[in-house]
Amino acid sequence: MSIFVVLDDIISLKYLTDPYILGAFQAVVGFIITVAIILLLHLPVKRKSENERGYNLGYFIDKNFSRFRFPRGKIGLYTLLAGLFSSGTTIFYFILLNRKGSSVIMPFGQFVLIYLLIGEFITDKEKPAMAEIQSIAMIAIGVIVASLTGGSTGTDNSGILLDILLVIGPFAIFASFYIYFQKKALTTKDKNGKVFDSINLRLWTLLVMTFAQSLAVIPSLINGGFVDFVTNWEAAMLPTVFSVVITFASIVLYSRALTMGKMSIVRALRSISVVFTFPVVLIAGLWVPELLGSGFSDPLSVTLKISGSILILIGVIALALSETKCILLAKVKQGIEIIPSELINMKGVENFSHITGIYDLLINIKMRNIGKTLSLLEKSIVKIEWIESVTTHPIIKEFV
Amino acid sequence: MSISAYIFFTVELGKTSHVVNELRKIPEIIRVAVVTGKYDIIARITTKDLKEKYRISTEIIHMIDGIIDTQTAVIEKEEING
Repeated sequence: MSIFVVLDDIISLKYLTDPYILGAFQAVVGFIITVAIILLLHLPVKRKSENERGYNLGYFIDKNFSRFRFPRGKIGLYTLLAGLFSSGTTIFYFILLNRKGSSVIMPFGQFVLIYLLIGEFITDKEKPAMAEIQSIAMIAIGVIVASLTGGSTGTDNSGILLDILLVIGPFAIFASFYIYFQKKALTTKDKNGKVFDSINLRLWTLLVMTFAQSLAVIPSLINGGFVDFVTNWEAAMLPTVFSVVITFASIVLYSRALTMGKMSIVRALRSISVVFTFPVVLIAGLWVPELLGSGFSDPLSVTLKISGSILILIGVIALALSETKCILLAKVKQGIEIIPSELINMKGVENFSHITGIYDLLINIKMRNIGKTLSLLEKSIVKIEWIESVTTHPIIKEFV
Repeated sequence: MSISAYIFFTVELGKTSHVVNELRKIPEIIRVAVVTGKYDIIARITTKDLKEKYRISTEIIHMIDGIIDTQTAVIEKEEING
């Protein structure tokens, strides 16, 4: 992620300075390259034996991928909405990249977690735990501190407020809805009980983005941007190709990880890119000195930028680590039909197994905090008619 | 066809880390969770058949120092969210 953000920054500084033109150009190039990559992913992999099922390269990235698939019904609607919100996020991403540079875009991107959490608090009708409040405060303050870098050294600080408003407003709100609909599209089953794959999801959201970005770029092209584009598009092509290939890999793997139920690890790993961007910017700065710009020009700016990013990083990791896992062992009542959907559709229930022995079911659950586990047990699981008793085993440490 | 099972362990006081480390050395054990409650460790094992499972239990797991008791629950069916 850090690499494609820095590449975007280079293109924005050297070739296509208008964020709308850069966004549209990347969407068009991105769509063409994504189609080419997906065609490559159709290549079959040699079977080890005659009896083994045939696979293609795409299967190794996402086991739900088999070929080009058009999203239909609810999945289609979620893909369309994910594409529209992704377009909004991308436009604001390029505007912020243009204003602040790549070193703070990654920290800014973490603000979205706050909205995702608030969304969960509202839907679950639950109060946040103290650890969550602390994490939210750290991320929010981190974003503000990282934003201070641009104007803190000069007398003109008017842009700082606008940067903060852009981050906490449209950028993070659009990104939250994008993640929400992306997950909905990947977890909703179609008529045949199959789920959509992250590779096709990326393709179709990119198509929606290409349309939306192409519309958004019209005013810029009319107001002189067309000349700028015609002059520079060839030079911008190579870094753009690199950027979209890396973006494809990053987004497909991230969306795949989203469906694997390991959000805590995904969040924690992804947040590392917040600080990883600094060395990438410094290395790229040897080639494009403008990258180091105002953000790296004085010790105060660098200190604020790094402090803000570290605050965000700690906030995200603390949030991820507050998640708890639990194994429940349940006995079921005799003579009453077991309805698996009543249990499996409960929020927090990752999976359950019908087992032999003293207990009838082993239920794996994962919640944001231990308090929510109690609430899941009291308010939902024990109320299921066919469950007789439940024994709880919170996981202290796990090795997978 | 492969089979999967959960094994519930009761462990001697102070031997949990040792048992966990020994269990992690067994390739067929794909998950080890240290838990609180009635049991001390819950592990998941996947073997090619019950005979192989029996061999691993008797020849490897039961030889680990610190294990007081084990109970095996074979998985008959799994329901996965999403």
